Amino acid sequence: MRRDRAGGEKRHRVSRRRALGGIAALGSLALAGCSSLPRLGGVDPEWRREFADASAASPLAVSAAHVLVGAQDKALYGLRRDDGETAFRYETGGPIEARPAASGDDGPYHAHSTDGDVYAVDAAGDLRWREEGLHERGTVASNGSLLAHLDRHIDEVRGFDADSGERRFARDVAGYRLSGLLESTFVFREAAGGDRTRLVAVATEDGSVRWRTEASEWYPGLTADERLVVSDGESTVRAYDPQGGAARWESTVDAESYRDPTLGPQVYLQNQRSESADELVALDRRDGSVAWRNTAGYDLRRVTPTDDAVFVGSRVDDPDGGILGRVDRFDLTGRRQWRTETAAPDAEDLLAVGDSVALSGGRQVVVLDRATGETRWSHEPESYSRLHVSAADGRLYVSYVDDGAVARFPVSRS
Amino acid sequence: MVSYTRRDALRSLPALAVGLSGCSALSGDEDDLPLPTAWVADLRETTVGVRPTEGRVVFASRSPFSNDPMLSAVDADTGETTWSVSGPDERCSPAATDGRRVYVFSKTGTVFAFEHEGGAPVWEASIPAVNRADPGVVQFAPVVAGGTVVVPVSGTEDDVPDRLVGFARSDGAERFSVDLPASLAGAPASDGDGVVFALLDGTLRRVGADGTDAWRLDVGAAMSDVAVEDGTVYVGSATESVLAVDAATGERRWRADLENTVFTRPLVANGRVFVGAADYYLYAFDADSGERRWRTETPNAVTSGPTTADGKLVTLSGGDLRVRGSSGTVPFGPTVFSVHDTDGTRITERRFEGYQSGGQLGWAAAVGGGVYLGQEWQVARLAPEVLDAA
Repeated sequence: MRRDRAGGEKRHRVSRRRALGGIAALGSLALAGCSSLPRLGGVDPEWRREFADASAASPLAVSAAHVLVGAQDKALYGLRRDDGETAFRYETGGPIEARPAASGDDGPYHAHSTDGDVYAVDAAGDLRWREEGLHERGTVASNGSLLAHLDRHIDEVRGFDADSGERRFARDVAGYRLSGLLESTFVFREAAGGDRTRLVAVATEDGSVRWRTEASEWYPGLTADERLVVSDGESTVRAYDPQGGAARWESTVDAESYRDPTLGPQVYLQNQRSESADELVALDRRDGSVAWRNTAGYDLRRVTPTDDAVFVGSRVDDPDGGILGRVDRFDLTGRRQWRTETAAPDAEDLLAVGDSVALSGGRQVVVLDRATGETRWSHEPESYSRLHVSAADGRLYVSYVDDGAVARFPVSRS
Repeated sequence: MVSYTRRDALRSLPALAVGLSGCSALSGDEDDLPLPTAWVADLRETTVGVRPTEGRVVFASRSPFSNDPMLSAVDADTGETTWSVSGPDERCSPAATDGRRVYVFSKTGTVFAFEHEGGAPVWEASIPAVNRADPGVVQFAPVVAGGTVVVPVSGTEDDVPDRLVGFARSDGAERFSVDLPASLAGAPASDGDGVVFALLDGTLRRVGADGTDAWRLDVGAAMSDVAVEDGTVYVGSATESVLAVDAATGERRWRADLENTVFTRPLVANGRVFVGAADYYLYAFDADSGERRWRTETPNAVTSGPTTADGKLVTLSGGDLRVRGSSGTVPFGPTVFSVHDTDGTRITERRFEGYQSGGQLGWAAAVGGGVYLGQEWQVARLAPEVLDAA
């Protein structure tokens, strides 16, 4: 029995979060028995790679052939997806902290190193091209033939031919995400003088401007897919044709503020309300009319649509103190099909993978049954490392950011 | 107003009492240091010491609490404090010395000069518009150039006018104040009768000991701490290079390639320039030609050194470093102390893993003939054998 400094007995309380985690772990362990491998709440990893000389790893990307991850040992690693063995290792001039990018199934692969440079290597790990830069903070994203590099120090986005490295354009950008990169069009926010911003769409082949919106004093939320670009702000939601910028529709939605919307079978807005729980608002893609609205936890964090449902990650209060991550599943009419309060202390990422839903709470991953919301297993590494998760082909890939390790786990029953 | 305390042989009495308790006589905790120590002393948040005379090292403290001495003069052999000076409740800069006096700059905006022999105060001077600045404003030590002490006033948050302020060494009379167009990128250095310094606007500049602008060189990116030796300036740059520049004219003499930026001051010794870079390499270049002689890997970005003791190179990679500018980074781990021979052969490598009872490692440096480690709550002098091959 622990005693506090005053000498009195200290009551040992089990928090709701611990209880939830314990139930999941107990159930899993009972099913799976013991293993010498690091285990994800009782589920054995198919493989785990620890980088011997690296104390940290970047978020990862998954191509058809490789798991791509940068590390503190300055290297970009390409690991074989099936067994985690090193297919290539390419050393840069500094640790790689940003998620790499893959252009095509077998490369080229790209990474921004904290030495300021952008590197492109092929599937054998040979350097294809390199663009020198000065700044530690940067990110890359690719789609089709374009590699976009965002220099976060000077707020400039540069476009390169992903294969050759030929520079196609350089433009000022307002924001730090490259979420509007499409096959032939790249939509992003640009500064328009003073505190004004607007959306601009450029051709990925040469950076020429395809269309622009009017500048405004509000910072627009933005999401895009090959058929629709949606921006929101100040209760107004606008949809544009990605190629020509023609207005598809405009909708007024009673809402306080937004994060970036999400596109799926519908358009999903996160209505951040100060006096009550946040609200998910679903709009019809065709005309912007409100299809339904519903709440989850008090703070919506992630929206993950699938063809027949939308999953929402949110925060709720742990009655014993702290925060829990919650997952809700809604059908396309807005009917809540299930809700699960997980053991995770947050809802940082939410992935639909196989017959499961994986919620990352930053330092803990919880995997739920996609159909029922039942917790299958959860995992909080002993090292308390931050985790980044990616999904591909029904498997979960986990980067242990503070451990310099990567693992692959099965999530499906089959 | 500083409170001046002189410690004498009576100090051995409390030391003896501590010794009875089974700890180090100087109260420091060496149990979890992965290196043999000669002594460990309770000196908090120190910066790299200076050695005004044989046998004594003076450490300044970044602690904002007046209970922690602003300056402590330590016997290099025993670690005992011979004198200390308590300053105001504010952080202060690293110390500088001209061999006779020790100079330090407090975030209160006060510059102090003390006699190194006994620590008696000599003069105080004031610099306006400093006390509300960020702690970075006292990141760099004053620089002694001719008859002038030049104080670098440069924060990291745009909350203080960046400038160099010169004071007469003799009495602290202000001689000049030179406004700077950008923050300092690294520590300045004296070339004897002037100061050479690098700014975050990518320029390398020199001002004379009278404050007159001598020259500027557009390097194009942030730079490291500056070194000057035999009329040549050596500096590392985020252009992934190390430069040698004529100290009199500002003309570039040579440029050598690196793979990342540099945070620390190059070391010039025996015709070589040794550079510890953020690309996890320790380099040696020919001081005249810039030709690379060797490079050897380090486990993390070099954050202290190289410095030299007994002909060996001492570096720390990883650890706690305030990075200025937008180039280069220092991952949280590993933190590794290394000793190399001047041909690049590694002699000692020790990793600091897990919790250190002395607090986070801040620096490692050779000062005089000794090698010292500075942690959050203590300073250790390492045993001489760390310089010997295992």
